[in-house]
Amino acid sequence: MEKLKGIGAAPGIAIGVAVVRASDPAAAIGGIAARPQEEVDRLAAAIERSKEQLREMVARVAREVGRREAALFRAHLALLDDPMLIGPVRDHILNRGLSAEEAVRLAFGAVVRRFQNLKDGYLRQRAADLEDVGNRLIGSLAKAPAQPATPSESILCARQLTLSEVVLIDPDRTVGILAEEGGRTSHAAVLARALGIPAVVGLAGGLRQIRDGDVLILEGGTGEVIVRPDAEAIACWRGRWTEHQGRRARLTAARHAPAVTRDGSRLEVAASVASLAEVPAALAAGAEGIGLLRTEFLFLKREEFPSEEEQVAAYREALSRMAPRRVVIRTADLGGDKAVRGPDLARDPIPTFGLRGIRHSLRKEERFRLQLRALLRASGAGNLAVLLPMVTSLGEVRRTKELIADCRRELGQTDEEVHGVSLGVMVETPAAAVMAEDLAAEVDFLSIGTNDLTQYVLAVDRSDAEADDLYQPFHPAVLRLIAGTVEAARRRGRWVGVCGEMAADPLAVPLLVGMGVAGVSVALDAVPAVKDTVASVRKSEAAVLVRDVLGLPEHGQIVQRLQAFNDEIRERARPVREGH
Amino acid sequence: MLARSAKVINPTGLHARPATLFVETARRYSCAIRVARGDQEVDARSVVGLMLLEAIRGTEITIKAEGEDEASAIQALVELVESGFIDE
Repeated sequence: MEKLKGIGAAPGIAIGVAVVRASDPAAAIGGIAARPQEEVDRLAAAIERSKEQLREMVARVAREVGRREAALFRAHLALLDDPMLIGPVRDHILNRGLSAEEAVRLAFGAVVRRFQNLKDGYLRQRAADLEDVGNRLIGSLAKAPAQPATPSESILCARQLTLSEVVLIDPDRTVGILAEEGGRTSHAAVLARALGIPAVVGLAGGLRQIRDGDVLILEGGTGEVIVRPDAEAIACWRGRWTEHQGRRARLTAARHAPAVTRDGSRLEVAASVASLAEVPAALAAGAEGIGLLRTEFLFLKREEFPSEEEQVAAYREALSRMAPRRVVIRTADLGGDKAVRGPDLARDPIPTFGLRGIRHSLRKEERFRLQLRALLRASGAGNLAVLLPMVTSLGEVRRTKELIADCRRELGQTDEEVHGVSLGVMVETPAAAVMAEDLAAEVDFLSIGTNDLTQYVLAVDRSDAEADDLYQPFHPAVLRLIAGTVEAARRRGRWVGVCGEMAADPLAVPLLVGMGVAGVSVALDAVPAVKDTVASVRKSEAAVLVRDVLGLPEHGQIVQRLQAFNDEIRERARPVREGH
Repeated sequence: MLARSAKVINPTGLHARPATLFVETARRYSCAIRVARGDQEVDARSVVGLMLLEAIRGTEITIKAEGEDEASAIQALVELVESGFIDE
C-alpha cells in the first residue's frame, strides 16, 4: 500500500481500478497490461469480421456479376492484412494507448493522405478504397462485444489530461480522475468538477507507482491518493464514501428550492457554463439562472469565424431554455494573433496579460459588432444580460455602449424591444476593482470574477502547478478588494454577483452572504451544496464574520476563522437534521 | 538472397488489381520478399506499399526474396509481372 499526495481538484471520494492512459511511449512501458492488449484483440476480431463480410461479397459478386468485379473486394480483403495499414494501427494501440477506432482512423488517415498526393489520377482515387475499408473496420469494431475487462469503476490516470479527453469520459464507468500535471484551475479540473467526478491533479512523478489494474482510492477534496490499499483502508474509505453519497443525495433532493438564509435573506444561485450542452443540466441541477455563459466555445475548434446566424441560433437556444430566468452571456474572451483558436485550448492559451477580453474585442471591432448584433437579435427569446470581460476602464464600457446603440439602429430595434437587455462588466482586474464605483455608474450590474482577480492581485499564474499554493482566494488583499467592489456596487444601487471557483467554496459562501452579494454563479455540481450552505447561516452572523475577517492581515488567520465558522454551522445543523 | 528484375507491361501498371494479385501470390511463400523501384523499397505483402511505388507501364521493378522457398517465390512473381498480371 502506498500513500501519495496531489492537489485536490474535484471533491468526492473515488474507489476504483486504475486505467492508465499512456500519453507517451515511456509511460506505456509500465502500462502495457490488460487494456491495450484487449484493444488489439478487439481489433483482430473486427478484422476477422470484416474479412468474412468481404469474402461473402467476393463469392456473391463473382457468381452474379463477374470475376473482374469481384476483384475489387479481393483488393479490400488484401488491405485488411496489409502490414503498412494494420501495423501502424496496432502500434497506435500498444504504444499510444489509443482505442482501436482512433488507431484505425489515424493510421488509415495517414495513408489516405499519401495517396491523395500521388501524381497518378487512378491511384489517387484508390484513397477512396482505403477509406472504405477503414470505415468497414470501424463498423465491425462497433459490433464488438463490450470489453469485459473495462472495469465499471475505473479511475482514469494520465500524465496530462486534455479538455477533449475529459469531455469524452463516461461518468457511468469512470469514477475518478488522476493526473500528474495540471492544477485546480486547469480546464480539465474545472470540467471534472462540473461533471461531479472526483479528481486529483499535480501528482508529480506519482504515476510511476501506479500500474494499470491497481486498486486506487482518491480523495478529491484533499488530494490524497492511496495505491493498492489494504483491506482495512478499503473498509474505512467505503464508509466515508457512503456517508458522502448520502449527503449528496440529500442536497440533490433540495436543489430546486431557492437559497434563503435562516433569517430570510436571499442569495441567487446560478450556474456557470461553457457550452450550450450544459444549459439543460444547469436547470436540472437547480440553478436559478445562468450566471455566466462563456461564449468562447463558439470560436474555438473552428476553421472560420462563426456567422451572425450561427451565433443568433446559439444565443436563442440558451435564452429560450432558461426563460424567464436570466442568462448572462459574456462576450468573447479571446486573445493572441489568431482570429479563431486552434483545437486545443490547453496548448494554445489566451494570454494572461495584454490583448484579450474587451480590449481584444475593441481592436477587432467588426467581429465584436457581429457578436453584439447576434446578441441583440436573440434577446427577444428570453431574459438576456450581456457581460464584458477583462474591463479596466470606463472608455471600454462607453465605446461598447456606442457600438450597441449603432447595432440597434442597424437592426431597427425599438427601445421597447431591447430595453430588457442589461449590460454588466466583469470585475476581474485590480483596475476594475479599484474603479468599481465609477464602472457601476455606467452599467446595470457587476460580476466579480474571482479566478482572474486573484491571479492578477497576487501575481500568480493560474495554470502554474508549481505555484499552486501561492494562489490564495482567501488572501486578505483579494477579500478586501471583493468587499470594496460589493460596497461600491451597493452604493450605486447596482446588482453585484460573484462568479469563480471561490463562490462554490463552503468557506466563502457565508462571507459573500455577509457582504451583501446578490447572487453567485457556480459550476453545476456545486449548486445544491451552495444552497445548502446558505440555508444553514444567518445573514446577521455572516456580516459579523465579514467584519472580523476583513480585519485580519494574514491568510492563515483568515482560513482558520472561516474554518471555525464552518465547523460551527455544520455542528449546529446536525441535530436538526437527525431529528427529521 | 535472390533478386531479379521484371518489367511492368500491363497498360494500367501496378494498380490495385495487379497489386492484389501480387500480394496474394507472395503470401503463398514463407520467405521474406521485398520489391524495389529505384531507391524505393516496400514489403511485397503490402498492397498499399506496392501501389505507392507508382510503377506504371514500362517500369522496371526488382523483386528480392530471402528464405527457404526464395527460388520458387521469385519465379512465380516474375512470371506474374511479365505476363501482364493475367488473372487465373
